[in-house]
Amino acid sequence: MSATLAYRLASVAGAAPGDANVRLFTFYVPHGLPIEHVGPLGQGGDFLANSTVLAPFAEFSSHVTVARGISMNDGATNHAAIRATLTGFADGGTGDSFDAEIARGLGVDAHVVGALPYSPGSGFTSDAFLVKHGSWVRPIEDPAAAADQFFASLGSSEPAEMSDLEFRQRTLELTEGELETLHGELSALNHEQDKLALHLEAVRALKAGGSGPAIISCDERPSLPAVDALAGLDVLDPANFGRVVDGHLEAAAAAMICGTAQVITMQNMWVNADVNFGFEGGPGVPKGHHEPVSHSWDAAGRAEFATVQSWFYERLAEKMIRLLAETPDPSDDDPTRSVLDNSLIYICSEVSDGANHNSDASDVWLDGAAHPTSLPAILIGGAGGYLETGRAVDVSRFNTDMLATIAEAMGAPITELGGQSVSAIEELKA
Amino acid sequence: MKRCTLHALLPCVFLSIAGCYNGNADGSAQSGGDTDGGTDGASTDDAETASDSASDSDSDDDAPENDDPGASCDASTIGPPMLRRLTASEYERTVLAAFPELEGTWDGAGLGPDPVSHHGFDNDAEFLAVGNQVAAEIFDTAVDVSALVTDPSRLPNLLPCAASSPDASCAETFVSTYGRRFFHRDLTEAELGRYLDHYDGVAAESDFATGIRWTLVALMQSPHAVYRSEIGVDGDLEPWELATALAYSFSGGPPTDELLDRAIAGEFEDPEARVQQARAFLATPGGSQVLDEFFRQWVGYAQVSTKQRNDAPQFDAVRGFMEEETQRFINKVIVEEGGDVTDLLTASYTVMNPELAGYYGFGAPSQGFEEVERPAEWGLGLLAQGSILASYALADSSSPTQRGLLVYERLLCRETPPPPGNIPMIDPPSPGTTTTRARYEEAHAGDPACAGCHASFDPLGFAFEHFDNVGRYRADESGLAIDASGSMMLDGNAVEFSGASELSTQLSDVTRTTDCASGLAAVYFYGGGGGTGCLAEEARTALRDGDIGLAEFVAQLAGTEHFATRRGP
Repeated sequence: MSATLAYRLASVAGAAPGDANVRLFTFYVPHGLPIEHVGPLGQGGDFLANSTVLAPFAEFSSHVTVARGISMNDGATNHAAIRATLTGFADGGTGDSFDAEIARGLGVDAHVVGALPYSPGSGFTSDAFLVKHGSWVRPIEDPAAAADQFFASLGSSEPAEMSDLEFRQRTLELTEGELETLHGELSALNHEQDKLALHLEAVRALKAGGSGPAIISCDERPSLPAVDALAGLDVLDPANFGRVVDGHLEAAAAAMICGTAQVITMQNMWVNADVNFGFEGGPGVPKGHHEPVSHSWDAAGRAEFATVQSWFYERLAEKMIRLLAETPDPSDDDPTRSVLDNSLIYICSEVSDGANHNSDASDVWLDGAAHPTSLPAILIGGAGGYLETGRAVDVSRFNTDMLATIAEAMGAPITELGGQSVSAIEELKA
Repeated sequence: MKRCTLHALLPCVFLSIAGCYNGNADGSAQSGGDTDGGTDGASTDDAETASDSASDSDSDDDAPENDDPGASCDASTIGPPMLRRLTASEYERTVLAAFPELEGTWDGAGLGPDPVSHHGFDNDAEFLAVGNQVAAEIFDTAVDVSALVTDPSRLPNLLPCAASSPDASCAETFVSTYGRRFFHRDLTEAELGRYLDHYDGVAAESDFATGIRWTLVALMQSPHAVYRSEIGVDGDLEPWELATALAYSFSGGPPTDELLDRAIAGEFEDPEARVQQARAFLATPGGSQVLDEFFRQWVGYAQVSTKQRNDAPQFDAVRGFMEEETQRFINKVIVEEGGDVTDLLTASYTVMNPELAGYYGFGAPSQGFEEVERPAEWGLGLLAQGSILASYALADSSSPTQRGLLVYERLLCRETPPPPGNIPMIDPPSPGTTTTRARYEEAHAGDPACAGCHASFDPLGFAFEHFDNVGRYRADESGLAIDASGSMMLDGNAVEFSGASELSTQLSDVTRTTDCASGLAAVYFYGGGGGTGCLAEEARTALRDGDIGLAEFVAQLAGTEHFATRRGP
């Protein structure tokens, strides 16, 4: 064991049971689910046994919680709600998205990655605005760049000269001072001052340097074959979509195991993406995701939608959940506890039922029968013992309360989002 | 509270009380709401900005907001002072203008695509914030460039004194020279002192080149380099701010030393001198790119390059040509011929190559891109471009809703609410059995909950039904007759049309269409105008009256009062 790793693990020895770092991975997949393929959900350990779309999670069902009855806050509906999914408000509100709030509470960085997170033809439009850290964050498109960020705290094989680090700080201080001065000079211009205040905060964050979790269990960047396989490929080419999803999941899972990244959000596509799902390694549905697949009302089309959405879950299970489940958590004193036990994977969307296009908890009628729908809210992992897993739970709450629940599970409680009181959902707790 | 000008009063009132405005340019309106959910064209969603938490205390109660770029006013107004963060492209151009030696050796600025505003443009000052992500990208870019510039093989060529006398005096030469290139003005004594102190501190602990390197990083990430200042003094933009605005707005890059000197000499206090300079810039390759970018973002034709159409294997091979066709067509109409909105909408030709001729099934260009007359009834002008027709369509069929929304939102500047929940099913395509129009009419017109909004734009989209989802003309739809007729209220008149050519002609006759185009152009070239509308009414009137073309209208934007002055806080 190297001195660096020994030093980092030294902090583990003093950690009390239950003190292990809980990792958060938020996984956004647009346009909801075909509700009839979600259920019926049973009881007990095999409660996912009859679900088509959630089948990839069946073998991990003891770690899965499905929350039913979640509605979008703020009256946000369908497409506009991508911005409300993680901020809680239709226009994004005046605060940050919950991942930034949690990261701030933990004193760590919030990482945002994306598999084709906006249309190369249309650019980074409001249809792709999901995560807000002062301003809308454009997810890191390339898994290799994401991996660089995840593992930056491990340093490079050729560490920078200390003098360079000092010069960097002084340079940022100079810029900080300029921003403070300019901010003061524009005291009559509130809009411009707000811009400069955000800029100033960003420079101060740069100066403070990236903040990672206290417990890091890797000495060097792990092998990432799916990431490496993307070398030379265009990550915004829909033909490479499957590879990019795998690359992001692989890098994020490795970072969660190493403990180098504690709060990660992954945005898959954007709200009305017509990405053709005939790409290599995909579900074999050579049609656009948003149109026609997600908007299908007929049984065959809805089955295709289930196949497509389930493909995301299959990749998540294969590239992340299995790995986390099989890896004892190096940051936990209890060797029987896995990284998955101490993680929380939150699967979310902005729409309840794709074709029905609702963003609330309401019924969709299929073949004369009412099916209750609500925003997808699937929690995977024990969150360090916070959640009672292996079940479906019926609640009637806004998504902001789900965000508050996750924040509390992470040890960074949020009592207010955008000036609105929020509270954890007690029914989900262990 | 949104404020309405007289010309825009009725639409504004209805928009404020109803979820959907029916698009009648005379102000009559209906309420309702729905779409087919396939609205991946221009979005009307409101979007968050970095400054939306700010109070309105710095706004002028007399200034109209530009929620409706198609609205017009009796007279022009002026917008607020602004800091405009450079776009990714502008920042890269600035670096290359400062260090042309890096051309070909530098990978370019590591800034990703800029956020697109609710008006559909990626250069809106309200959206161009510097959050953690952008700050880090600018810093990394500055570090990379500084390392290249101070490389021993390059620095002595850039800064000869670095070889002969690498000292504080040489550093002052560097800071003065390159500070001006990034700040677009001479540094103040205080700024010069600050940067030289920084250099001294670093160089004292390292060497001359390292001192220069970190000083350059500071210059490149300074707010004075990252933002275009349109703040002014006592309401007037300073000469260097005018030169900077002219250069970036109309050439996409920073001002030259020569332009700055001319501005300092007072040349650009004269509105006509500014317009002349804008014309000169627009005639350069950089200016051509700026103009081209406006049209790309206005109507979104470049989306064609990312569309996939599995049922039309030939499409992959030509979609790049389709994008180029539209770029060349617009350049021909607007730049070469000085055309206006009417010309853009009704030109009887396109500009295409043999590959496209084979694909579309008309024309015989001998080689490369040439002007080709369209067959009668195969559409006219911009809206007959294959790139647009394919961009605003679905993977398996045309989309009257998307095409109608393009006209409704981007040519008539009408707003629609986001699609609601509980969207009823549109039957999937049934070639040879049902037409696309019939499917849409059954789903939308037949449902009162949908018809309220869709009645406003679906009929516009039906006009394009003679074009399939890959931009080709079709005489019929899998053997079924096509009904491309429709009607709607435009400028207070009930207008009937049959087919894309008639619709384009009718649109070109409508004041609202030209006002929408000029209003959106003003939004684009003024970087959002600080949320203020009606900034260039004299030029808009001239365009509306047919006195000038669109390219000249853009140049005239440099001559407005807003371009040189700003209202007080």
